[in-house]
Amino acid sequence: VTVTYDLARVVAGLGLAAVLLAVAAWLVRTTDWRPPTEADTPELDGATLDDW
Amino acid sequence: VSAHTEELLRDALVSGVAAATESDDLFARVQLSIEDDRRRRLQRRRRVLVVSCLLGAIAAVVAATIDVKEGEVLMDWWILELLTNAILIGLALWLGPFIKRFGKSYAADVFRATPRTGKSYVLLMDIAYYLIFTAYILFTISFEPKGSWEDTVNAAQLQHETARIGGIVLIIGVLHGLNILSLPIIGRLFTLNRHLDEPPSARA
Repeated sequence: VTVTYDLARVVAGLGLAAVLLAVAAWLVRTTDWRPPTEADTPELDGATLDDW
Repeated sequence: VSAHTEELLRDALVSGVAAATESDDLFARVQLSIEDDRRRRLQRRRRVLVVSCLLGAIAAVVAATIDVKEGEVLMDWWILELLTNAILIGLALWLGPFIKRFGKSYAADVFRATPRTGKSYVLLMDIAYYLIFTAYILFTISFEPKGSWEDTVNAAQLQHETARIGGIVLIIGVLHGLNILSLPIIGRLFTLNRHLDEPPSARA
């Protein structure tokens, strides 16, 4: 049994998937994901690792 | 009677207000709390949208690559293999920052006496995490149909791919659990080591 592809459907489907992935990436990049201030870790964030 | 009660109540409230000390940063803290709440609501909405987009993208790829013949839904074996790999990579990219987000304050508390070590520990754990994920994907990837697989997706392949996703979730879950349990011990050891390295005069 072999699978036959409908070019129009493949292009439309992959195109829609690409658009949805781009929208997801945009949402991830433009959202402020900072945790609430009570979860702040200033000592850990402020520590410097000389060799990194 | 009511006038007397009113008087008593007023006196109690006035003395209560007189005893209260004004907090300088109360307004700022309330403002921060409102902002946090607003941000959390936005994050929740955005998270739902991102997950919907990802599920929609997977559904679109599936709809584009399946073929219906005589009532049977067919898909080439390699398309499911690619989709599983994409899901595993997506899982790695999402799960890592997700664990770190909630684990950072835990690590900060454990390493409060040695924040530099804590930061280094978190960084090294990040590297270990991505190494484990990469190794898992490379070990379980298939370049040709395995034993009972066919050219199109069948139950054996579906079970294999499901087990791949379940396998990595189990590995990361177990390692994460062990990390949570061992972290306080490691943090304590570092603190004790530091304490022992100090001269006796500094300890007192």
